[in-house]
Amino acid sequence: MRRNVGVARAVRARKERDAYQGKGAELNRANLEHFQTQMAAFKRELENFAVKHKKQINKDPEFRNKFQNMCSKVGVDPLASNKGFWAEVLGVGSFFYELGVQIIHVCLATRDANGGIIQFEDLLQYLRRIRQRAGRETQQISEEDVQRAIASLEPLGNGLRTVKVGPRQMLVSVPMELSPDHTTVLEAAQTHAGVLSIPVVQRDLGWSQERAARVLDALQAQGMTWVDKQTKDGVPAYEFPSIQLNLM
Amino acid sequence: MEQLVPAQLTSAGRAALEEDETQVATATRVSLCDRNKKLLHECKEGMLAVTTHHVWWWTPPQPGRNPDEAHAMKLPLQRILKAEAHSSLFRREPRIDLFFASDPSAPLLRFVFRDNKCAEVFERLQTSLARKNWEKPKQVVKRESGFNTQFAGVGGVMRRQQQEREQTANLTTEAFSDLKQLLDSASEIVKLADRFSSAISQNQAKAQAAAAAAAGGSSETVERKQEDDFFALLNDMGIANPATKRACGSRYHEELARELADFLAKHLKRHSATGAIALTDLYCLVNRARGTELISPNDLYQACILMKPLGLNFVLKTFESGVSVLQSISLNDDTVSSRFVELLRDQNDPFTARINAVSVASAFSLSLQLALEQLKTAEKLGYLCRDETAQGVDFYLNLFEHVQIYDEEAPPVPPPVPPSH
Repeated sequence: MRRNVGVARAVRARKERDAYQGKGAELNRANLEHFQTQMAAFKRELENFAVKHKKQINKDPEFRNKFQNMCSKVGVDPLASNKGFWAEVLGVGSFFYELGVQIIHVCLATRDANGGIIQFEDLLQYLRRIRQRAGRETQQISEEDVQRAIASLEPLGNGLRTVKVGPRQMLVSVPMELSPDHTTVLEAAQTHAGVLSIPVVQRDLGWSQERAARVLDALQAQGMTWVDKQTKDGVPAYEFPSIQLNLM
Repeated sequence: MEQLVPAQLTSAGRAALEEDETQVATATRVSLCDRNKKLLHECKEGMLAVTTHHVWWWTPPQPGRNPDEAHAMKLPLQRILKAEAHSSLFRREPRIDLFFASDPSAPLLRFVFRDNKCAEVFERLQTSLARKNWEKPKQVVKRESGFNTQFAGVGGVMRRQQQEREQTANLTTEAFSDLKQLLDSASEIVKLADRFSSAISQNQAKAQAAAAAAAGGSSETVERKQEDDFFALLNDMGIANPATKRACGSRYHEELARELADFLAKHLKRHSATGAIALTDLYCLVNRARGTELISPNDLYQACILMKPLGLNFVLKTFESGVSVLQSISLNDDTVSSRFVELLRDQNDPFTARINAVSVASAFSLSLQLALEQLKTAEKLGYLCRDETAQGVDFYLNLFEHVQIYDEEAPPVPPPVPPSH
């Protein structure tokens, strides 16, 4: 009698494979759980450590450097202070300077998605979540705190600007001088025979309404586009004479 | 003097530290004396830095000079037998004497301090000497080698992994038991954290893909992804020798300017395609890299102003709108203007070749505003001429500089040679 042939063999092989895969998944799960608990432990211990040994950490530049390195790898924001938890512990400067760093950080981290224009509510929500990560009961930061932090950045020039769009406050972190958006819109205008509208830009480039309007208005202010408000469908049309004339 | 070896400075003229090296103390206006206690003429009043591995001494490079010409030396700490600090009421200048194994009876090297940093430098030097960071850090997590039936097969793999998990858990308890332990195992922790977080995020990516396939992505995984991105920005940017007001005194802004130049040389490409960065962005990035040694907005601005007079590779530029940026000097007005001229000469006919803000913006990946600004500057400098039309403003090569004006009173001049095509 020969074994290992036919239907029985196929069934047995599948059973074996399933068993191995099951074991593999089990192993991965166990490892992952372990990693996660260890990371949480690192985080907790780092914070406890900072409290217990704040004097030595402050005094010793080598340790301070290593400590910071660990914080950033483990995902502890050394500036996520509670109007001073870490500030008090590590002697970090003013609360508003710290908050300023975090605000710009949020702008940078979300820039790919929003082109450097963020709503105040989103910004606040983001900041609160980041600060909560530090695992402490966080003192609520208010819109006023954020405004003051932005004002404290004044020596750095007008790189951050708050603008009001309708009822909403927005924070613009990419000044026109550094934004690639205007060139992008002009390129888009070329594919539309020199006529654009806000909804078209939104659809073509996947932008928010505010971002599209801001760029088109800036181009209008520079005299690169003219606005026709009397279109049939009532949606203002932005005409680009330089492109239209070139197409003639 | 033979104990000191020539050393390399960064392009901005700071100590180029090794990977694990941390700067722990600095002093300015430090002079060197040889074994005869005679002041070395070429080593007067330079910068001194104590790190975890070396003592550095250098003269900051002169503006506009090649940093390689700067006088820079370092002394590996492992060669030092012992150090002594001397200061007295009657001698004006405190000093540190270094002894070497070759002659334990007399100091072979002496540092003379003109600023008041001697005591601090000495304390940090003693700490670094005691810690012996140059000796290999011990391996905490060991992997069993050699074959053992206990670890064979599927059960073996599981047992081994179980053992590894126990070891890392032990490491956590041990490492955080006291300060010295944590200092010793810091790099181990960083390595483990790296490994853990990449495993966790890989798994999350998988889960996310699965969730997206199933239900179009859950908001929780998206949020967590955003947070990971947020912290990813912090990685691999650390500054191991932040300039501080306390250590640098009156040279604080200058040292800060050099630090910024080094930082940008390394990281600007990652954050800006145009070679320019807004001061607000820089403020965030550089403070993140410094960790808790925050610099204030005003100090950053002061340092930026100094970059030009120091001859560093970046300059501060403020636009009419009030936006301030740091620009790489490769973007300076004459260089950019000649790039425009090249762009025009590359076209077929230099008499009809034209460029405008849009074509320049896409050719050099500049913002429209910056492109327009640079074009106007090139025009002001005489490289280009403008033509204002209903289609907008175009710029042509300035051919007027090739034209000579005839003066009837003057003797005749041969006709001008048209520019070559």
